[in-house]
Amino acid sequence: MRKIRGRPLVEGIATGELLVSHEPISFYGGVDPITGKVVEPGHPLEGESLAGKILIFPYGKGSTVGSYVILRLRRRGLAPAGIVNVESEPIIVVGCMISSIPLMDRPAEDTLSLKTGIKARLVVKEHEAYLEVP
Amino acid sequence: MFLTPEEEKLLDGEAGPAMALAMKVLVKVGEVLGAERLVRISRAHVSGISFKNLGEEGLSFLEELAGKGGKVSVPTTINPAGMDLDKWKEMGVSEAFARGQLRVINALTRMGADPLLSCAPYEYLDVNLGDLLGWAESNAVLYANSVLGARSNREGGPLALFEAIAGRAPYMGLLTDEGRKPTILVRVRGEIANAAALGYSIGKLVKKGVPFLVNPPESLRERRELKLFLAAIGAASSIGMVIIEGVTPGFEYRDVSSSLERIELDAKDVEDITSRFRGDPEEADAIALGCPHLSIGELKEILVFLRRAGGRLKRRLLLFTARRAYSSAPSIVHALRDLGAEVYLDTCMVVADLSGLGIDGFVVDSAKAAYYLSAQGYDVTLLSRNEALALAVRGRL
Repeated sequence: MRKIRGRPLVEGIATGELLVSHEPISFYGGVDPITGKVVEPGHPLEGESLAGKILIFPYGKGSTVGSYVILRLRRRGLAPAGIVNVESEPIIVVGCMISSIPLMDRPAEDTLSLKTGIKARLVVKEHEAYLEVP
Repeated sequence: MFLTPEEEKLLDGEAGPAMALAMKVLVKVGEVLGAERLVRISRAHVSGISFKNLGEEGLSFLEELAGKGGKVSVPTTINPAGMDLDKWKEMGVSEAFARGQLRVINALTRMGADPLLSCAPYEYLDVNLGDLLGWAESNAVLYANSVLGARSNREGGPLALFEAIAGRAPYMGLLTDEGRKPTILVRVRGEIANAAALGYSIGKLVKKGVPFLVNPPESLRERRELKLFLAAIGAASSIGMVIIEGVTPGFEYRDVSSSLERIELDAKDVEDITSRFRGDPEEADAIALGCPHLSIGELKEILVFLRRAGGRLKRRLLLFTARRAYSSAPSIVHALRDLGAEVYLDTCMVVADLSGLGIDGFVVDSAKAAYYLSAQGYDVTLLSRNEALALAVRGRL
């Protein structure tokens, strides 16, 4: 196993398959809060469910209502188990904080080149965060 | 981040779990964005409160926050809801939605927020030069920064709620002197009649930062045009402040460094950038005005215009405003309704679900409304307010 370290933002531990998007994600309008699937037309993850995945994407975009979409997904059991951003911004930080979804950003290695589908573990503690991949 | 001993106590839960959560979120967001400390704010304005966006889950979250003793610590107003609180049935809103929406407003009111339900809080509040605000709703933030000289970042809906509870915001960006310096100089060549189209174009071209608009068109001396101009910039970009020469307090052209990046735009650029808002006005079912919410003064102007033009409407005319505008002069709204205008309070064409109104095509005077309505699949045409009103009366252009 290999540890990719990053900046700890929201504490927690998540295990799941990676789901990697090279494009930013707009949770508001881009993800259906009822089904948990990406619905933005033309998005590389269009049609994919985020449920239980460790979701890797560059950063959030779009309306700040996106934080509430993350909360809605979480309360419906459809949220990602954990999130790794290249650089987080307030939509994702607030969304993960009010939903207790582990969040790390600024990974020390390129995480966008990791393969979707591999099993991984995200560990975020107060002063330490890493993504564990095979 | 540096916190005062008092802030440390709030973070540790001394003032209850809602305050602790609010502080935790502000500290984390501040750290992510590079703020070194929090600063006290004098007002907050919370957006993103439509039940359409929140759903049952968001509603439960707000009710839990209120149940945990969450209270705003500064005067806090809230943005439009997903329906008119009285006329929701006429809007085709379901009973389940109406119940959910009322519970959202109740939860916020229990926390001490003022249910203004308007995107134009600056019409009703005493906001002054240098005031520090925690406002969400981009048009309001742009108006506060660019016209009133108050200071606010473009906060997100949930973040503004946490700022309201904490009475603080991360000290950064447009709250600081450094963050309010112009980043690009914008010059308009020739005449551009439509302020909303100009704002949308500047937003699309500049995208971020603090543009300095020199020698602005005459129309921007008028408050109603300024509102449309700024709302359009907010919809088209992440800009939270425009320095408008002669309008924005405390800035002079001579403050601009000669090395500042410059762009120019003319009527042709504006026409190209806003071409997607040229639908078929002859086929439009309705004219919709009030994004941002119309003030009582603007409603009066509309009434005068319609009366002069003969009064009777040949097209549906939807007007959106705040209940507080209505209460300040109910006779104006009643007179508009007598002429056939559909005046809605508490909500607007951007946050409400208008699918129950049987409208396929809109004429609007707001580029922000044009942007959001066309994203929902409506045929949209952007005209000036007077052109749109003339169409409502004559039935054709």
